[in-house]
Amino acid sequence: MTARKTAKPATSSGVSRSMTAKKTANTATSNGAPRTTIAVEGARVHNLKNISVEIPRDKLVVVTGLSGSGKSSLAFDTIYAEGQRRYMESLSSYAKRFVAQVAKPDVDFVYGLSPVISIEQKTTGNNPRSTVGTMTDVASYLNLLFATIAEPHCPRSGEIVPSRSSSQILESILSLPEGTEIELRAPAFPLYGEELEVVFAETRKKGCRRVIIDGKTVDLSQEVDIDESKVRHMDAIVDRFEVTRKKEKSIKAAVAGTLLVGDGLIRIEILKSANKSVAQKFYVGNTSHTHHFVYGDVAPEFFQFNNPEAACRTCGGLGVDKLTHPDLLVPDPQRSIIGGCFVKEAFRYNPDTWDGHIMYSLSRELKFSLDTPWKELPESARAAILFGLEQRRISISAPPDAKVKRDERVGHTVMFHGIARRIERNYRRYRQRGEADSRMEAWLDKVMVEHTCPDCRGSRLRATRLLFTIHGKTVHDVGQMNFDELLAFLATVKPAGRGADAGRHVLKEIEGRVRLLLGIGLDYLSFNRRSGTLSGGESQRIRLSTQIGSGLMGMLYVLDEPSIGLHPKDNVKMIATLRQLRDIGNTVIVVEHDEDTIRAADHIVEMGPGPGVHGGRVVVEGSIDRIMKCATSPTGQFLSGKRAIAVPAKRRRGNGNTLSIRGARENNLKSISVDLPLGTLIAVTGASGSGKSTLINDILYKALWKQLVDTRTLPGEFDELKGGEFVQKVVNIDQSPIGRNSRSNPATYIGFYDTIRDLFTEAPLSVEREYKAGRFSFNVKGGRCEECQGEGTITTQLYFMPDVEVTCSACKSARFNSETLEVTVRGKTIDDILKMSVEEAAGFFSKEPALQKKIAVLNELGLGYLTLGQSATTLSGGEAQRIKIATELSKLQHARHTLYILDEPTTGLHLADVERLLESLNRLVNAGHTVLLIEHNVDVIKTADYVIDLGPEGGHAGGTVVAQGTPEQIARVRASHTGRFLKPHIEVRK
Amino acid sequence: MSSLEPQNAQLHARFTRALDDLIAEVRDDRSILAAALCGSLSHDLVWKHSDIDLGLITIDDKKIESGHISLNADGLNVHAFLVPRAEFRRMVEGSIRNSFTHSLLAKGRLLYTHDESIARLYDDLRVIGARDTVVQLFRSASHALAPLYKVHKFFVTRGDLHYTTLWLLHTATPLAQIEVLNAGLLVDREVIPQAMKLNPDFFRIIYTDLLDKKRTRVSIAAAIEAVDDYLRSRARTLFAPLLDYLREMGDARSVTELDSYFNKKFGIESASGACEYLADLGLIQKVSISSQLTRRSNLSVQELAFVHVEEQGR
Repeated sequence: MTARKTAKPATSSGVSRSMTAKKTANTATSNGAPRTTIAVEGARVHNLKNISVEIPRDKLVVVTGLSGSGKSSLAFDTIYAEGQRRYMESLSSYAKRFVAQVAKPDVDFVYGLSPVISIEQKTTGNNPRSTVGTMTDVASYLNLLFATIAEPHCPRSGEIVPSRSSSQILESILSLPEGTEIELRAPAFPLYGEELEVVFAETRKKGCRRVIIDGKTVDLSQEVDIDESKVRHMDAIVDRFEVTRKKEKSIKAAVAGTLLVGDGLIRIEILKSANKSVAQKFYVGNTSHTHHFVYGDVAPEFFQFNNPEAACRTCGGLGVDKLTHPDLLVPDPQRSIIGGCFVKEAFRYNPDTWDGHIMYSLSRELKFSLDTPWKELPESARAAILFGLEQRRISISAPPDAKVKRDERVGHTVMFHGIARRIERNYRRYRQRGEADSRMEAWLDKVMVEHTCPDCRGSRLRATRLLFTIHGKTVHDVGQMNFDELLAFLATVKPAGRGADAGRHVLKEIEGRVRLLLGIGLDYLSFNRRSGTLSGGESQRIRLSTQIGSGLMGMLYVLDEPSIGLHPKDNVKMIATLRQLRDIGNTVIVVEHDEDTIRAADHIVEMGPGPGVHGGRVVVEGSIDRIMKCATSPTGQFLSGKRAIAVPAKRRRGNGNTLSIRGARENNLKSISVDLPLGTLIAVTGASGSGKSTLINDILYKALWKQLVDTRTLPGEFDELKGGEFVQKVVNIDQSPIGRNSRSNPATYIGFYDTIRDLFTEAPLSVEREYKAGRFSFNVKGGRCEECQGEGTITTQLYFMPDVEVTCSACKSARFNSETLEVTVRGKTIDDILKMSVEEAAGFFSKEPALQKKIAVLNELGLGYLTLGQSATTLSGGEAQRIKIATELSKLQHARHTLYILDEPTTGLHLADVERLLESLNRLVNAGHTVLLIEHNVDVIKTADYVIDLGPEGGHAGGTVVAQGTPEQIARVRASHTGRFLKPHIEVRK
Repeated sequence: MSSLEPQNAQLHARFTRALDDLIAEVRDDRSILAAALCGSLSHDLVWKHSDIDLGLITIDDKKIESGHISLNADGLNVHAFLVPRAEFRRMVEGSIRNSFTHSLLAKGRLLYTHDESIARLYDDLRVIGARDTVVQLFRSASHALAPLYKVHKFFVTRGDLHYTTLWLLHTATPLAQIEVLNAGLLVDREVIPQAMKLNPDFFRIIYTDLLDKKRTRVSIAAAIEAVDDYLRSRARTLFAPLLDYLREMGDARSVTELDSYFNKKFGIESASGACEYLADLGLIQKVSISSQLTRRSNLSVQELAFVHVEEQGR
């Protein structure tokens, strides 16, 4: 490994360095000695300045630097991309058609690459069928464990039922004396919310005409007169045989057929045998005692909720069902029914329609007025309108304002099941009958909310699957356990009997994986947790544990800020995991800003020195000592203590108003109450999974949004929000992109592009040619280049090769046509302006104060290196967040008190960036507003005016307020993990 | 006709002999458990172009699948369908009585079996359940409505007697099915001759007279009226599942919902046609409820719906 102080710019000397590095790399390989480094030569991706760098293999390497300095460009877009590309190249052309191809990064060569895996901070999408269990494959192991060692129970008596293979069942039947007459029956279970007739129709379709209902045989081809409420047990008669070896194949097929009808259960009844003891002996040895059941061919997929045969039939394996919510159906309760209080798709009063007739008739029947505001209607009337009148019939009356009189109906009676019930019925039809194209679907989502499925109660499985238990726990119960609880539970499981050997093997696999998850601080998660509810950091850590579990060596792992979302106490575990990954023989490259991780690294590469065009070079690389000694390294400055984020000399006390949440109990919150002093910088802290996001995003933010913006918003469960009247606006500033396509950019997002276009329309040439503002937009025809439609580039799709993006030959990336580009403002075309950096633009527009103010804010937030027209897709999450803050700062309204909420705003930020972020947030507070941060970064927490620490741990062990107060007060609370980590920082101040 | 009888007897004897010879061979095949004769030879007349429909019930074995094979028996075509015993059991027990599958098997006869359980299943085919009859009546009545609608349309709008007659004849088969079902009999594929024996006057008007006699506006009008009367007088029975459903639900159901329900439950498509008919008779009411045209529709339209209303005090 060759350590270098700095990488030189892309000049002739840069090339010579490149040559040297290549020589070194070649020498290493020609010697036949194993390569000890990954050598990158001539990297020019994004802002990288033709750099060359050597990274030691089999080490933990941290790439750090300011936001936008080129860390990700080096680690992900060069090293990972090249490794991936070369792997893809090895695939056949046929296989390449099915895999997204990776373009060759702009780099001369990368030596010493291994198979590379990137573990980024991407959330796993919102597939409701994906859980932590399915992500980690542990769900499959748990299913296997249950199929192997779980105790099955009788659906009727609860007694133990034997579980056999169908061959074993066949053998047991054939062991009966020849001539014994047997009947094979399959239990039939009522379907949730459906009449028995539906079960009968299904049973018939499966080829069973006769069922035994509570001991009485019923022919389904005949009329069935039965009181459904009194039905207890039903068995379908599948087949009947006289036992003989000659019929072995028929009996075998019948057993398989019965198991199919009985959903894995078969009931064997001996109708005629030589003597009673034969039957008795058979039942005792082969079936359950009371109902003569036996489970057959129970395989892992029997417990798999993503298998349609095992999934709950009501929710289809999602665990949730949807019900209408009155608040969503009636967004404006101030309005009356005639005035349109309902969502228009649900109901709109029209006296000439049937629904209008019925609503009018209902109002007469229940004596309410259709002109009364919804919220003033009696509760009983509102309930009847939404949920119907059960069995009571209403008399039809014609509305007096109906244009078409339909007297033939008047005086007749009809039932009314309610507006909400009709929507729910349509929803069930859509879901149960798989009418995926139902036009109802889109708007059903608008008025319905998820509830735990009333049939499976959230287990996602059919009831028969929950009859299998290990130590009294079902597969769902086990999936619900937090990992720490689960490990303790698994330790108590001692497989015995038939599947003991296999069971022990499976148990070992599960325990190993759970330990890995515990090792990276995810003890509060459970396998049933939906992947879509995980943070990016949690998803990343889970994927990391899967990689460690694979036990591969010689790999190259590239990770993006694994410390995000981790409380300092859990970060220690994460670092240990990264070391473990290294110690089993892998190279681990981590893009990271976290001080502890940097200190734990074997080798550090700092990119910079500045962001964007000012970065793209290696500032320093080497050991921690080398970094700390480097005077030009911002990281070194912070690590050595020469530079630090200052603890404020004085904490603000706020404006005297308080926003209070009482009785918050969503997810794991234990009916907690917190007070937020308005006009301050507040940090909400606590271990991962302690309930911070639930309290702030799901309850506080949504409650305020409901109050201030959209009454249809449904916050999480809580009792009361006090002080809401002191907040006039709530803004959630997250790290999501400012736009999803290349046409969005900082100028369009903040909104000053319109002003720039106006300047161009006022130019003499524009006036002469009568150009309007649209002429200077690359989104509409007229002024833009039509060859590339204002993109500046043209992308050609190739079948099994990566897409090729080339500069537009017509406009040469200017995005506008030549006539438009003839118009200039102070010598600059519209293209020149869009390619201008924020720094330059601040000077260029100094004579336009409105523009200058907005651009200056961007510059002050450290975004001076961005160009005004920089595509939103190229911005990092941190950059997007700062652009959003800039937008807020540029339109500060002192009169309207605003609550700004930021969830982990330090993600992707170097300590130097954090310093700038805090400055801007403090500007918001100093302007009289409140800023609320969900944060783990101690350097940020210490600067807050007020801290709310939740915990003490994650999951079940979290959800309480450990401490509230100033950072100094928190530091004094022994029970607070945050306080413990805060203490040294506060003491430094003292 | 009488001169044909000796020929027919000869032909029948030839078919029977060929079948017997074939069965004598098949009987020794250990993979065949039973043979059942279906089609004309089992219960009707054969002619020189007839074939023999033969059901062969095989042992249950993963290497044996259901299928068809065309055999040659003494120069005669034998269309044999092979079905494993378990599948045969599902066919027998699962098929609605008087459906095509049921009728095919029930009209036939079991030639031999090595497995007494197959004989028992075959015997069960004779039982025709009341519930199944209700379903089949509903199906046949629904099938009669579409051509009847055309009958009225062409008679009223164009006065086209030929076309009206053609559609009237289309109604004859489902109406004959209704007649046979009501009599508790097995519905044959050639159902009209069966029904003519049960209700000769009616089928003379709507079938034979239309074919044999000169078609006049008066005779066609009489036939239409006869069909209308026939269905109207039986409507409550024929459409009982639909009326029961709407009565039980008590409020309006959209056509989409009704079609979906009856298709899923009884395999009957376009229950909405039956609803229209019942609404015309005044047994139910035609109304409308709000609906959206597309998933992205920003306004509602009124979708056709039906409701069963009751007189006050009932």
